[in-house]
Amino acid sequence: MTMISLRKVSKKFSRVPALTDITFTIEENVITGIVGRNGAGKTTLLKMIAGFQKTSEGELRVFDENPVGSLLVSANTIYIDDAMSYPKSMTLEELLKEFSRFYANWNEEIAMRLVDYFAIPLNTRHRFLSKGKRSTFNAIVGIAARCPLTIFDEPTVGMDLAARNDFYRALLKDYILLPRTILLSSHYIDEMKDVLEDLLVIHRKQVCYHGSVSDLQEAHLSLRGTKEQLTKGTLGKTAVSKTTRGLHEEWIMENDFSEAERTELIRQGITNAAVSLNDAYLALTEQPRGGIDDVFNA
Amino acid sequence: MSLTHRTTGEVVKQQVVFKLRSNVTVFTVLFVIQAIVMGLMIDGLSVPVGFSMSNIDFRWYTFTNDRIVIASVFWAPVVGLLMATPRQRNASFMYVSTPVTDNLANFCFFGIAAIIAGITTVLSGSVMKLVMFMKDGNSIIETPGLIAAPLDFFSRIAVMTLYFLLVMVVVYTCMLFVQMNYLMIIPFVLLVLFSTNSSVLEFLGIEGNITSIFDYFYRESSFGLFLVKTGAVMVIVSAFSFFPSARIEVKQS
Repeated sequence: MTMISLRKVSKKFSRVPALTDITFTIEENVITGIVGRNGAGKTTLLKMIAGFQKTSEGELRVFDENPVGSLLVSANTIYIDDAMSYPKSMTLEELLKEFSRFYANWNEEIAMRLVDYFAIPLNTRHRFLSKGKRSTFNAIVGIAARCPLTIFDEPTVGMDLAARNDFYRALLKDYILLPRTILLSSHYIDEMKDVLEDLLVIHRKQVCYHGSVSDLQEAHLSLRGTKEQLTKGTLGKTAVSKTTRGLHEEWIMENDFSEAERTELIRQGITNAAVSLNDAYLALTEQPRGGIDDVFNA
Repeated sequence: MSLTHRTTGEVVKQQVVFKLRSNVTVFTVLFVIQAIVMGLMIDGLSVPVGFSMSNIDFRWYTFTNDRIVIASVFWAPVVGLLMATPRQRNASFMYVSTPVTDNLANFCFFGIAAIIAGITTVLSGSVMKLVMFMKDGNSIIETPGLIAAPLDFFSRIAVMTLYFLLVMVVVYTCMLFVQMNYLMIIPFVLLVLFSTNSSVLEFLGIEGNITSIFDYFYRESSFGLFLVKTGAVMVIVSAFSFFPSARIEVKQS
């Protein structure tokens, strides 16, 4: 079942485009990572899916309804980000009670266990927590709400490494218990790669990749060698990014190499290896004017 | 996972409870303002009026809760403004909400706030009478209270409630329009300027008539007509509020 579908969706803020011509669908019970450079339009996309913001053009459907003003979408969606507008006068305990009243699938037991585990004092107010604890509390809300559509926009901002790992593990465990559609936006791709099934890469206001995580990695190949070796060995092939590492260079190529071609590369002294998810993502979103090195080499 | 289906009524009810819980300070502020003004009225703000004749000196003090009414009337627009802020809207949408349920819940909140303010404002008069009676047994009570004229007492509460509600709804709706488009502040400012007696505008040959706007409600002697007038204005203004409410986006960055 299709949970989210976008067809030629664009969003503008006072004539400034935030997203252009976005088309994709997300199926039920899939965890999708939404990644992109700063300002790519991830948050705008997630807010539109949650029904908080309108599209400027195109058609957006969530649960087969326009999410803006839809009670069905609101009742079955939770949107968690690092700017939750909790009332200043309410304690964390009171906030959790409110969530339990509003969300039909709210799991009090999981919420309390997570609160206990992360040592969050319930008698305090959200604004008095540290940045990491604030994000952790938000993440707990997102997990315990058990909404058919759960949206996390940068949920791990401010969390330390241990808390981030624990969050992804908790999310995965709860997802296994009760599968649901989860959209997860973060800049730490390698940390969330074990949780993700699909990846949606937004670059320059457009979708530049939507598919499985493994497919993205397999679609690229990392080659290492001297500039001359690489230039000669990759004739007719497409380089996605080029990085200088000491005397050698690392080129990330589109992986349309046959077995024979790969063997030939090794014979020429070029090492080839699978790319990490992070490298594949960075290669996809590389700026056309080159890397940061070029700024200093100019 | 199966989808949850909710009705507008259910969500509005939950939102009203949430708004009441998260805005307790609104009521605390009202009670504190009323208590402070009442304290000032009882303890010194009242100026004696009197005259002396040979060796007889007449002097009397008039105590009224008019200033409590005025203070509470100033509190009402603040409540209307507060509920129209993006922070309140974002807080509502953190839970289950749509522009329609949020708007309806805000009106219910205004209703409850207006009733509480109406009751406490009228009761402040009774408290003042009690305090004055205990302080000085020579007081003459002019306005009949709950026992002497219960219908009057309750109609006073109803009138105060309607005034508060009217102010809240009008300010709330105006603020929603301004939020939808900041340029909308211009017609509201012009409306206030042209309806207020201003020497500058008078010089330009424009006479304000804010008094007649107030008189439209204030001079109404029939409770039934007053109810119809305020009710009609509130319904029209409330209906207008759904227009900007549906257009304002949540969590605007």
